Amino acid sequence: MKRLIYIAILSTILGAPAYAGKVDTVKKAVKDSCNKELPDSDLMEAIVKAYDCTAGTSVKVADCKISCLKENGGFVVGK
Amino acid sequence: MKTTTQLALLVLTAILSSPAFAQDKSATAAPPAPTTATASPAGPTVDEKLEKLSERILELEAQNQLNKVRISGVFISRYEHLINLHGLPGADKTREDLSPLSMHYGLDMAFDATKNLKFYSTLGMSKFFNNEGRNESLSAGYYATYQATETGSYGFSGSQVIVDRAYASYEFDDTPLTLAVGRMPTNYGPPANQIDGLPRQGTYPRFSFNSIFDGLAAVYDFSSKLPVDHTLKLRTFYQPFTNIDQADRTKQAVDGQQLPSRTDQYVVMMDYSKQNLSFAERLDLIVMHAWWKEFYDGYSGAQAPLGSPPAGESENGSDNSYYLGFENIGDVGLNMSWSALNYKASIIGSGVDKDSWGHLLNINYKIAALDNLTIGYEHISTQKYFYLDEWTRMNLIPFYYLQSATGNHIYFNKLLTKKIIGTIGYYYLEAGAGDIYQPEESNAQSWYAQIRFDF
Repeated sequence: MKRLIYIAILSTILGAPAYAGKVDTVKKAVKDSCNKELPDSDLMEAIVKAYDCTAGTSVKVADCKISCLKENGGFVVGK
Repeated sequence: MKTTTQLALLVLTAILSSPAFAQDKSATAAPPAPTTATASPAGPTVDEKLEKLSERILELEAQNQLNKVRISGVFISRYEHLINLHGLPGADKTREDLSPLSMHYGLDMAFDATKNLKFYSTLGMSKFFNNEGRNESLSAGYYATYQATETGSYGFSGSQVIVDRAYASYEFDDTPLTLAVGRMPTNYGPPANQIDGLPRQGTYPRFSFNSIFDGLAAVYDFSSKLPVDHTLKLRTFYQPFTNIDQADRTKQAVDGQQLPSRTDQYVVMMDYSKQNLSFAERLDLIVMHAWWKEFYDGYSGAQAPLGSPPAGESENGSDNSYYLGFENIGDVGLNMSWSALNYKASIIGSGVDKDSWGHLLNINYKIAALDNLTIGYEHISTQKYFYLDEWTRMNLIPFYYLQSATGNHIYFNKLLTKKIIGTIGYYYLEAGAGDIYQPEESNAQSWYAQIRFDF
């Protein structure tokens, strides 16, 4: 019974409408570029590398080369 | 499942008993009440803790969604030693010998007003060390009004902050169109960024414009209709220049006659790139055409009073510029680019027609064996009448815009540590006499050392 309650509450939290954040974005970038899953143990380091970089460059996270995810900053007009 | 559940409880217990939660709990939590879950006699029940955790996650997500500002910036410190011999043809030359230290600071702020509407700005300052109050527009006559706005904070005038960039950009959802209005990033374009070892930083090639312009832009992105690795953008830019009395906004500017209050300049640019070529990582091909009519140059000295012959001149003209660049050729860190600018103008009422070319070659090579030290070379060649809007340069030497000039530039740059780039270089330039705006010939050389911090 207790287990069911925990599962129900956790499901409520995890099933809430979440916004795509840096975790999902970095995982997707690694998946798209190298067709592999980003290990949870590398997640924090990967996020820092992928967002604390110069827009327009590439960065290597977990042995996978992805584009810097920092936004352009508006130096080149347009999408 | 049992192991997973126990693990989840262990992690949650650790989180919820953290100091932050404890503090929060003491301020807001209700006294514990028995529930269907197992309750600790001294604290909240586990499902109460989970509910609190849910609220905290929601709080973090909300904070993230409300964070609409992104701040970054650059600080550059530079030393340059310029020696310049200049004078009228056949006359004795004057020797200039300057060796100032200078700095440039730019604070970038981007605001995501909505998903589609963004606002970008840069507050900038440049100055020579322990020098204040310079004004590089003093000797330019009426042209000072253009020069000052196109220079922005790059005039090394002192410690006051000038807005170099302030524009709003709206990106449509259903069509790959972006509209923008304001003070635009029309300087520091390719290949200028490669001298500092950076990716593309400006919208227009530096040999098209290297100045700050105000205007309205529309960018249409055709990339979705092209194969993977290809991008194609059509950029249009409308630049209205303003002539108005410098002291009274109700009056037109005057030079012998009343000047039209607005001179329009139009720009169309095709911006194509391809990634992953067989011999290079990236190709950029940029073609730009700009044109204007009855543009008041206003260059020389004071304007004439109403009814007198004009002191300045007006022109009809156009620019055609081209940029072809390859990056990481042969996967060995070799970049090459060729830029060209063809400026044509007819001076109204004088019969003078100008038609001039300038070329800029840039080659640089990142040497992996030397810890990614980059060695670069630039060569410039220009004809009489050449004109480039080159107002946001960092260098003392007038390398990129003189008429009848030939010059060479060698540079080295290196990422010293994360966010710090060091560059040293040497310029050599010979320029003959040009038109009435460049009566002197000159022979100049300079070497410089620069350190750039990005934050």
